Amino acid sequence: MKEGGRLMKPLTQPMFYVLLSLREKRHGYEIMQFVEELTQGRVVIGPGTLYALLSRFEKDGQIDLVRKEQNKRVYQLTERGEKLLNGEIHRLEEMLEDAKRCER
Amino acid sequence: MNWKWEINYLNINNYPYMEEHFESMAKKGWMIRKVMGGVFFIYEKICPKSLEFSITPYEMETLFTKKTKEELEEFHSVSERVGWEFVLKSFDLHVYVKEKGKKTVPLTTDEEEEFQNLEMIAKRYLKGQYVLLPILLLSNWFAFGLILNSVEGFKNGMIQWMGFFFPIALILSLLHIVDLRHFVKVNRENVKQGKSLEFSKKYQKISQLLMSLCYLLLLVMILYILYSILVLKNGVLAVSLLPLLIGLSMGMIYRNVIKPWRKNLLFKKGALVLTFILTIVLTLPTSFIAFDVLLGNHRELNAKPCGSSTIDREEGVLRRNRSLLVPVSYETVCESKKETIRTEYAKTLTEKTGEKLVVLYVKKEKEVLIGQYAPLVEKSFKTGIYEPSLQEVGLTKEAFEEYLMQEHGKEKAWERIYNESITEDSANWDVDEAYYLRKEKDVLVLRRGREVFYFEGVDCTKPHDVDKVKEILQRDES
Repeated sequence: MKEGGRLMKPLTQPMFYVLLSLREKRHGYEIMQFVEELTQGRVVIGPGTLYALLSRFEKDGQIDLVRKEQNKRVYQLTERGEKLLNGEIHRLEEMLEDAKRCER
Repeated sequence: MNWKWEINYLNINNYPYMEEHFESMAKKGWMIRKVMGGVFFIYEKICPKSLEFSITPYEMETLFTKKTKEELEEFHSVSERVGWEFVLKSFDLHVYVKEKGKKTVPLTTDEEEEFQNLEMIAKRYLKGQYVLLPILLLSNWFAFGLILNSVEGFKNGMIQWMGFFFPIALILSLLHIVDLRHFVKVNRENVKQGKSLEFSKKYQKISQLLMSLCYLLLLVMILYILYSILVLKNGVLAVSLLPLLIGLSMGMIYRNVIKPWRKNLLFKKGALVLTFILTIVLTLPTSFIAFDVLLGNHRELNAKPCGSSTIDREEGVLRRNRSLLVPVSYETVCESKKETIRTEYAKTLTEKTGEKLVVLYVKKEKEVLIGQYAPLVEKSFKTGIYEPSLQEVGLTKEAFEEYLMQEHGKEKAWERIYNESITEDSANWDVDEAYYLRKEKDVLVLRRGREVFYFEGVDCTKPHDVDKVKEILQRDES
């Protein structure tokens, strides 16, 4: 996967779900709830993991702080973040296709 | 007692062990409340409980960014909503607690992400250590050079403090580098292979010992500075702290105002450079102004012990010092348009230290001679033409011509210069050691037991000056 001409590592599971959840504006706790509901409890993201990721994504320009509410910071994907997420989805789709072709 | 403290060590490469430690302390009825400087742990007495602790890394600060209070509060409140109660923060590590068995979402749910976070923090720590390492090497060289080779190093407590602090800080810095590099290397490999993160207690004991010593020495330094300024009235030390205070204030402004600002990296870098330049601009003139003020305000020497120094005058600038090797010392300088009269008094720790101090005074004077006359000696021996100024230090034309013909003549000429300039005269002064340090006999060092006196600007060829010095020697120290 390439981002800005640079070869990117595949996203980890929490990275993927955090980016996915930020296609809509959400704050930290909402992200955690969204991921848990979406995956029916299969994937849970702890606050330590979540907030470290949010800091990193924001620093790398993949998400933006859109507003601050009382003790809550609401984020959303940037164009760059959307590109990264779509790249990962594409990679996963390709992998799934490959796996299907190998089904007996 | 409702509180107790212990010396331990909490860092990014050992915190799971500390989680266990906090749990066992809670079982014994001690709840961790504060960790200061990563080593001083403070506990509160509670009813013994089965608690579960979780320590999570959350990077608080980089060179250009700093988390705001609101960001930190948000992190705590979300952690609380999923069942974890915030206990304390130690640098980038956040300690949480819950009752054992209570169902919660773990704070950290992905080891790979945890490692990425730890790696970022470790790299920042390492960068800091790489910057610190050459500074510490230079500081050690500087401190030990001064302690072993200079009169100032013998008398100045701050320099001797450096002799304790910098070697410990250097070892600690090296230890951190080795430890953190190993931690990052091992776990990078573990993450690649899908293994669990490895934490280590290998350097736990030595790190906690060295860090505690560093903090203790920092406390000693603060107490020494306060003592020197308030009790010894050491204005020079007070003045020399001004640039440091300005630097610290500017650093605080950068840290607390500019870092949390949500601006791009270029802006932050520019702000850092600007802060640095501003600090230098503010610091330099302050030092000069402050020294002027100091000279104007410290003419109050009538009460000083032996240091009244001047032969006929009783005013000047006094500087008092205390150090391990020389527990009591005074220096006074009286300047007029014509002359500078300097008196230095030292009561050393032992007689041997006194002897060493005399050796250092002699060495210092030899260095002055070399500084003044080495170009002339070199020139004379190179061209074979005698420089008449060498007569001042006892190297006559005849002697020079003799040495010129001899093997190692230059070394012999220097030996003569030293012997002519620095002469022993303890019998006349009724002390253990007495040296005139210049041919003119206007610089004198005397030792009587543990007491060392140094006079510069007196004329020991005049009975009046000799009597004055002898009178100073008879005065009580107090």
